[in-house]
Amino acid sequence: MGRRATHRMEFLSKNILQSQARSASSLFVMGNPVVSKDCRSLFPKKNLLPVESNVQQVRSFAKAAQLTLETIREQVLGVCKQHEKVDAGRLTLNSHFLNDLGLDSLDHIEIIMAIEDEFGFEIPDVESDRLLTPADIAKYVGDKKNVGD
Amino acid sequence: MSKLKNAMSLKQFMIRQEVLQMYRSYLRLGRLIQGSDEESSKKLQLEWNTWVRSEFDLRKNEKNEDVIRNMLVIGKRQLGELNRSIRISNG
Repeated sequence: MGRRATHRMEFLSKNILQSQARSASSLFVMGNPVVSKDCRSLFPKKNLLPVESNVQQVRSFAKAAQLTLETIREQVLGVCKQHEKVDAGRLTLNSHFLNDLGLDSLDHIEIIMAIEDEFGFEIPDVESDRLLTPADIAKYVGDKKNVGD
Repeated sequence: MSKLKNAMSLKQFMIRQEVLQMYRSYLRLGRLIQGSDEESSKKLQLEWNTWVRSEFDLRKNEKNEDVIRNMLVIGKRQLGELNRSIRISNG
């Protein structure tokens, strides 16, 4: 094979490997498009008996390739709804935990911890202090995960 | 004028931040708790979180700064002891 052709082959295979790795890792995330069972254990009093999630996986594997800001938002809202003190009916992306939803700072900390469980990384205290709406959280997670959008 | 009166002093703000930090530390410690299997681990962690929350709720209306500071000292000491206990029990 000529030199140019081998370079092209290497370039192509590198890209294939990269995109495979990306979609493999996002498949792992998309395996839990709704709230993972783990974060339920963080919130006291709700769901004292182990409950199987009734929610079906909405996305097909073909569509599951991308971790987008939109999917993050859904996951964040899902986590917030799991909290016993959150009124799911009133919850929106822009609901302020303290001012709109009437939560206290301990509840806020619990929610942030559940977000950590959901997305698999720790959020330092200084940063979590300013994450006061689901939208803020989603944007922060998106930035940390280097999501486009 | 009333807004200024209700604002926390820096000291009060710092104490409050310490309390919240300690709450977070307790919750993070709970993540280390292991049971014999996944289900029992989750049950134990749920119990832990419920217990920690109730301990904080019990004391959250205290207004006296000295009492609060005392509780912080005791809470931090207990956090260290529980940390050791949990690590020992995890083997």
